[in-house]
Amino acid sequence: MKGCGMRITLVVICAVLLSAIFASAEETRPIGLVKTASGDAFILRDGVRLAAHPGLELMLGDQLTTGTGGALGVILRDDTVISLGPATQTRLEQFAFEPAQGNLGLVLRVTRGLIEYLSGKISKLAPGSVRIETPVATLGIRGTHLLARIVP
Amino acid sequence: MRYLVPFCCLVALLYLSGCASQKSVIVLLPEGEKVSGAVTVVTANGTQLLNQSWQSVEIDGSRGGLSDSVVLKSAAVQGIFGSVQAGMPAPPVHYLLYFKMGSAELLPESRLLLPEIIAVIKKRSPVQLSVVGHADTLGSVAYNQQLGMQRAAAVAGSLNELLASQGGTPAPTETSSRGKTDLLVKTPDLTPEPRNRRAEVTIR
Repeated sequence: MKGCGMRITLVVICAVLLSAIFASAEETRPIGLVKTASGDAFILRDGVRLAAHPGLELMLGDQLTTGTGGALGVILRDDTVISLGPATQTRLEQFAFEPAQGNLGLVLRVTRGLIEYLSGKISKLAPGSVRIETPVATLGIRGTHLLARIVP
Repeated sequence: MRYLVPFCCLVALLYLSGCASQKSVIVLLPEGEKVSGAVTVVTANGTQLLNQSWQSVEIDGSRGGLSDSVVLKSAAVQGIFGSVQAGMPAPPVHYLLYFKMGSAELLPESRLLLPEIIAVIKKRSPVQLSVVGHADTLGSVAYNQQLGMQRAAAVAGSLNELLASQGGTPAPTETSSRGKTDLLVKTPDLTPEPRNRRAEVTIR
């Protein structure tokens, strides 16, 4: 009986570990990169402020921020292109691009500022799985190209 | 008294410019020659669908109010968004390379494209590369999954070798395979189709 309980515990531990591995596939590898950066442009990751420069790889949860006069351009792993104007704050809230597993989704939070957004493959493969969330509105995206000025 | 007129003008100017910059704006842009997709703008007070190029909507942040949609002139858009549009990175570049049947060896005409791909990588550097290998439907799922992986690895290897031989920095490269699950040309199972024996290279 005791051995059985032990086995169950082991199975549960394995299951938890496995699910953690699958859940974190997108959390441990880069989801994109910085292509252009000028002026005051930085990435806030786990409380650390990184100066943005071309080639810097982006991770899920990164906060992309520009100051007055700053600009930042990035490309995500599904070919989504995003440009931030000055005094802009955004966060890569959700990103899943695993077409073989049907695991697709993108949520970009724009707290304030100016952005240009060009859809990538996630939006083409899974229309309805891409959102831009802002303090004033939620934007449902269907394979497209847009500009937004967000004044909270 | 003589200060009153300039003062009023200043107040009016600040008031108007304040108004102009206080609303949020969403604009749908054309996508090259393609028909634009659509954006659904949802606020606390309503919903507005944008599905036409240059169609826009204003949102009054404090009240969540949505304006009627307006089709803007590109000059007006440029006035608000010029700085953002100037900083937009060029979209990723894609290449399709084709292979001999059941092999990870490129067809001669595809091999000839490699120098051009290297030139694009150098021009866009620093880049991220992705190579996705595909196969036609001859053979099992497992066989084609493996063949796709071999094709992706072969292309990634050739590109990074060429880059290194020309003194370029190696690019972070992700390889994957879709086997026979993502056909360019739809065919029945167990059908040879040269256009499905391919690898897609993306330069970001």
